[in-house]
Amino acid sequence: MFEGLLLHHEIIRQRFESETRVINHVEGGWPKDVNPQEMEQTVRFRKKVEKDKHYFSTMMQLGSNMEHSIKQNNAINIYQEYFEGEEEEVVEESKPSMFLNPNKIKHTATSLSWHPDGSRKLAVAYSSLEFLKVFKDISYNSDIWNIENRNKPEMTLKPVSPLVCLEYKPPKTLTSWSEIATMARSVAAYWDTRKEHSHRDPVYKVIWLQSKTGTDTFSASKDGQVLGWDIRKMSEPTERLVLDPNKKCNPDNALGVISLEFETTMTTTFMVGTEQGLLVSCNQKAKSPPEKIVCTYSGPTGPVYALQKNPFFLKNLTVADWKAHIWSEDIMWTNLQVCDEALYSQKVQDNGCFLACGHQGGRGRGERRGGRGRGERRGRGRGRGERRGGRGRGERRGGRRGGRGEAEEEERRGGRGERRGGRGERRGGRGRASAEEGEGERRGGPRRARERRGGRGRAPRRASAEEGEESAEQGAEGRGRGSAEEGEGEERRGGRGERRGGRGRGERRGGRGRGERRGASNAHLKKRSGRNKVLKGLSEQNKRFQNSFDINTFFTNPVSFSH
Amino acid sequence: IATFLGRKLQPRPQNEVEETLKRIQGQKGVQGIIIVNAEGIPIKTTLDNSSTVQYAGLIHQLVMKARSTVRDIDPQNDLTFLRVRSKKNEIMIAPDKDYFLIVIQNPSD
Repeated sequence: MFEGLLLHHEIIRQRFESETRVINHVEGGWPKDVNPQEMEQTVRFRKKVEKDKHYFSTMMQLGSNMEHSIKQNNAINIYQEYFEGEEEEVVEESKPSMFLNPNKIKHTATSLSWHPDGSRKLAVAYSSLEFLKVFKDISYNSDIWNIENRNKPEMTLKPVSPLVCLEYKPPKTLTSWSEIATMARSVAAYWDTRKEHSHRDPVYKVIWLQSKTGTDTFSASKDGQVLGWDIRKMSEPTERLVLDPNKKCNPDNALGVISLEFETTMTTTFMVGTEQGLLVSCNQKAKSPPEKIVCTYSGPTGPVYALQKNPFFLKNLTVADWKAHIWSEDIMWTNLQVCDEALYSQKVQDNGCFLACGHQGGRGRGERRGGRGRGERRGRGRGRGERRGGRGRGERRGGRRGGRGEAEEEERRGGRGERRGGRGERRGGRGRASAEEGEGERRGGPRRARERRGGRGRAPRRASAEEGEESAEQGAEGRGRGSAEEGEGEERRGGRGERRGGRGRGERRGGRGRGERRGASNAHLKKRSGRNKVLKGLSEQNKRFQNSFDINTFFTNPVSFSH
Repeated sequence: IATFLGRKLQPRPQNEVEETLKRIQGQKGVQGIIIVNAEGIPIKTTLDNSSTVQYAGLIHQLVMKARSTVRDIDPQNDLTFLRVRSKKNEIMIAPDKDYFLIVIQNPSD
C-alpha cells in the first residue's frame, strides 16, 4: 500500500506555481523598531548611522572616488555626439558570383567573353583541356550567362566540339553581336577537311580584327601559325603567317603562339607572344610572309602568356610570363617582377592605372606602377585558386597550379577606380565546374582570362578560370604542342590548344569601358611527372609539328584525338 | 557649560564627511547626492524625499545586479564604480559593502 501510495505521489506531480512580481520600493528596510512614518525616529536612526566609524571611513573613500568621476565628467564629455550629420556609408562587399555550370561533369571554363554592347552577359566556353581524354558524358555546351541570373545560363551553345575560345565580336553594327567560337580540338578537328589550311594545334587565341568589314579574325595557335580568317568564308584562312624566327616559312621552326594582341591604333601591326618567350611584331599587310615578321624582341624569359598593349601609351605593353614586364616598343624599360609565379594574364585597367595579373596559383595581383606617371597601380590581389581534385592530381608545380575551377580573384580595390582587392569573379560558371580530370593530369589552374570591367568604378576582375588542364600525359601534346614537358621544372604545357591567350581585344563595351579582357593563358605549368613521355619531342625549342607522341600511345592519330 | 562641552565634543570625522559632501555638491553640474545604506535606507540626501526613496530603492537593485555580474565573471573581481549615463544626466554610484554614495550629475557641455 505504501509503495502504491508513494508511487502515486511520484506520478502525480505537485504543481508549483510561481509568479514574477516586482517590488515597489517605497521605503527602505527600516529596522523593526523604527517607524518610517515618524520623522523623529528616522532622524534619530540616521544620526546614529552617521556616527558610525565605519560610515566615516567608507564615506571618505567613496567620496574621493566620486569626486574624481565628477571632475572627469566636467573635464571632458566623453559621450558626445561625434559624427553628427554623417551618413552611414554602405560598404558593399562584393562577393564573387558564381555561375554554376549545370552540367554534370564540370569543365573548366576556358574562355570568357563579355558581351560587347555593355550588357551584362557573359559567354563562357567550357572545355576540357585534356584533349586526349574521353569523357563519356562530356557536354560540349558552352553557355551564355546573364550575370543577373546566376542559376541558369541564358543561352546554351551546342557546338560540335567543345569550345575553347570564345570571343564577342565588337559590333560594327548597332544591334547584333556575334561570336566566334573556336573549337578546341577543333580547329584541327572541325575542319579536318581543310587540314591543309587550318591549325594543327589547338588554337589558343582568337581575336577580332578591327577592320572595315568587321569580319576578320585572327587565330593563333601553338602550331605557330597565325591565321587570318574571314568568317564568311571559313573554309580557308585568308592569310597565314607562320612564325618563324628565321623569317622563313618553315613550319618546323615555327614558334608556338600563345598570345596575340593588336595595337589598337594601327590595325596592321600586331604583336605575338610566343611560348618561347619571343615577342614578335608583325605587320599584317606585308606582302610576303617573310616580311611579315618585322622584328622580334626576346626579352621575356618565359613563355609569354599574356600580352596587352597599354591603351594609353601606345608604345608600351605589358607582358606576362613569369614576371610582368612592361615594355616599350623599342626597349624594355621596366621590368617588374610582380610575383614569383608564372603570370598568366594581365590586364591593364582602362585608365591605365592598374595592372592586374593573374598567375597560376590563382593569384591575382594588381599593381600600380608608380612614379612614372603611368600610374599603374599595383595592388595585391589574392585570388583563390582552387585545386580541384586535390593536390594529388598531377603535379603542381610548386604550388603554382591554380586550382581548376575556381580561381577567384578578388577584386582589387584600387585606389582610384576602386579595384577591389584582388578579387576577380570568375564568371562563367566555372565556379565549380572543373572537369574531372583523370589522374595524372596536372591541372594547372592559372587564371584564365580575367576580365576587367573597366571604368572607374569597380573593376571586378573576372577570371575565367580554368585552367586548362594539361594533361600531360595524355599527350595532349600530341598535337603539335610543343610542350616541353619533359623534365622537371615547369613545363609549360601548351595544353591542348587551349590556351587562351590574352585576349587582346580592346573592347570597350558600351560606355563601360570594360577594358580588355585578358585571358590568362592557361598554360599550366605542369610539372611533368616522371613519366612524361609525351611530348612529341617538342622541346621548348619548339619543334612543333612533330608528331611524336608520347609513349603512352594514346594518341597516335592526331586527327582522331581531337575528337 | 554642559551643552558647550557637548558641542565641542562633536566628533571630527563627522566634519570631514560633511566637508567632502559639501565639496561634491559644489562641483559643477551636480544635482543631488544620496547616501544609502545596505538595507536601502537613505542616510543622507540633498534631494526631496520621494525622489530619494525612489533612487534608493531602484539603484540598490541595480548595484546588486551589477556586482553579482562582475563577480560571476570573475570571482576575484569586484564592482568599484557604476555609472549610468542617460540623456539628461548621469547617475554615479560608488558602492561599498555597507553603503552607497549616489551622485546625480548633469554634465554640461
